[in-house]
Amino acid sequence: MTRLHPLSALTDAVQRALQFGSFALFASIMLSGPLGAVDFLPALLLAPLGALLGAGYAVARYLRFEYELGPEHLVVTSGVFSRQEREIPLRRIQNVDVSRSLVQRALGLATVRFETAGGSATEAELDAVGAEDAERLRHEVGERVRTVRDGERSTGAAVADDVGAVGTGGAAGATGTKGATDESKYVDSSTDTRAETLYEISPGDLLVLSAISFRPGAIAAPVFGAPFVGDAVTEGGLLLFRFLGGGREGGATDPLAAAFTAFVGLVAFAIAVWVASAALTYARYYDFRLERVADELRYERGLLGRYSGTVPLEKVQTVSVGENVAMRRLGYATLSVETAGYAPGSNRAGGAETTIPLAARGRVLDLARDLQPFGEPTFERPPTRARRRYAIRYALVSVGLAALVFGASLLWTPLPAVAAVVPLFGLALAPVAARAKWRHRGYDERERAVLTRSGFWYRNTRVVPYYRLQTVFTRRTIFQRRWDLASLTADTASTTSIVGGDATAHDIDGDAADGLRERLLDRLREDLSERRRGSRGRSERGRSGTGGRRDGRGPTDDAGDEVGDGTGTAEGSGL
Amino acid sequence: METLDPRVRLVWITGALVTAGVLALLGFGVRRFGVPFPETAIVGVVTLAAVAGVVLALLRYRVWRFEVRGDSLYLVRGVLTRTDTSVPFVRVQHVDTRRGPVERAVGLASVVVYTAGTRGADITIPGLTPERARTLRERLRDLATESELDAV
Repeated sequence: MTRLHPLSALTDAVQRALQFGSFALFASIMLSGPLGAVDFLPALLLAPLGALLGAGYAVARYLRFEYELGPEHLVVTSGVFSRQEREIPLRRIQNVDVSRSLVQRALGLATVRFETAGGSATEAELDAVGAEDAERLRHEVGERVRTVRDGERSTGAAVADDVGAVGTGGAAGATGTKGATDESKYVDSSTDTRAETLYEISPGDLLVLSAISFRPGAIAAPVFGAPFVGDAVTEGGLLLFRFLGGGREGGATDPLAAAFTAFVGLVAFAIAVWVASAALTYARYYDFRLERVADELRYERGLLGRYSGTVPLEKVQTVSVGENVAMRRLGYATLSVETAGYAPGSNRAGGAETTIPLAARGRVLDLARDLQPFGEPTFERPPTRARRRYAIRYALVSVGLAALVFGASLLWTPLPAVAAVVPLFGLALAPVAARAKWRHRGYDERERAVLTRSGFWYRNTRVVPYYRLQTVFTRRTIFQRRWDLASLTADTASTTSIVGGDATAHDIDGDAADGLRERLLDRLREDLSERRRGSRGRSERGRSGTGGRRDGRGPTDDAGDEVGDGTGTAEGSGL
Repeated sequence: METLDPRVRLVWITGALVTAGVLALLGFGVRRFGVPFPETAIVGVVTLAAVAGVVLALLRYRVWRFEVRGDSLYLVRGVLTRTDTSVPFVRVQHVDTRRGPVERAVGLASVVVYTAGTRGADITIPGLTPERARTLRERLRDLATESELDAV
């Protein structure tokens, strides 16, 4: 049994000493001050005491944490007060993620996280081991996992694991135990796994990505910076006003000056958010690279902290191509895959992995097609009456806002009633906005998958292969019923569906929706039985080691294995 | 298409009244702490919530239907948003019967169908007699297992 890296005990000790120490300090201040229970000086002793306690606890944790990688299991024993021994069968491990924060990089450490299929949390975490040990662990666990899985496969009936490699045409999924020849072009020099680089972000693309991305967290920057630069901004605004306004002094009571300064403030805010967002994006996607190793996609990214994660191809539920307004103009796009499984570590946005943060649209489509084949889509847009519905909706929003502003002006006298006119300008924009929304919505029923698309500011095109379909819903709100429209949702096992949106064909014709639902169910059934037939045929022929499927199927050929726990449609799993 | 047992309306109405009660508690509780809500307003809101809840429960009963089809379970439900749901048997992970306290008091049960989906992770058919719930559960389980074996 091995211990973690001793330096991790040090960092942990420092961290906990600070934590416990500051808490103790706060407590001592409270006790001696407002509560007056204890005198100040003795209370002050609590702080260093707390720090010592914290450091001691960290050291104890380090001493009590041990792990061992066996041929079939990973064993982790831990716990200071309550001992815990955890034995994880290797075949359950789906991903091994290695992350390195800035401090860890300086010290040569790394955190390794093991995730299992369908687990709700990281199954095991080694925080922290040496950097080389981390890579070695990942490599070894990967090899052993594949060995175990292959052992199961050859004894059990065939679960097709044809992973026709991207570009090389060989079954890179054939592992060492089968003795398949090395058919991939690249060998990762440090870990000697058969890795193939699919994508590396170029410095230019990274800058473009930083410039056109928006990170919601960036709003925190001006909010926190306001106290420091707020005065400078207002002074600058007034100066600018005086400079432009000629004679006006712009005193405190001048409403025009106030409005102008407010405007300047708004612009400054927007710029601050943009710069912060760009900086965050740059740091996040610095040196982003995407590799394919056997039956996984592996990505690595980060400027300060370095993060890597894996996406097991057989868990991929849907593939989506995202384009915001700027990207569409410039011809770029983003690729994300959604997987089944629930392990949102610090690097995962709840199951959706950005596999390509930014690349030329053609490149993104090529890679998307490698994961899930689909041809040139022709989207069927909602009927034109949907456009009218959107226009009315936006018009109502404008009127509603105007009414709100008017009502507010009655209650709060500084606000002139005339301000209510401003939202009414939205009425003119309503038809334009409605058309834009309508234009970017649609669905396409294809041979192997259904595509849905929507969104103007960020247009998301989702590809749902039929064999990944779960439940199908058609929804009609009161308003949709009036227009004889319906929205159809194809549910999948991917976890972003709740938050990030799902594959929904919005506002399609009511009758068409029912027909589509029935057809999707038929296709699901057909697709599944075809896969079963196909995989049985393959297992009878025997593994030839070369990518077998020439019918354009993607590399993820596990028939319907949507949640890797063997239920559902895993054929040959002892039925 | 099969409809639910009429007694399920009692279950829903009870739920609506409980919600209204909680609202009333909240409203009067907040008043205790000094927030000047007029008493009539609170009573008005609570009554409105109760009436709306009852009306929705009755309407919901009229909409709710389900059917065990060839390869899927089909449901229609929803008053404000009408939802048609098709759950393919091949995607059913497991099926449960469930009886909440109010359901038990009224003599009813629900069947819950679990899939691997996220939006449709569990689909509940309420308002069934315990006998019907049991037979439906077993039927769905059989259909789910059959669909797995149903291949070339």
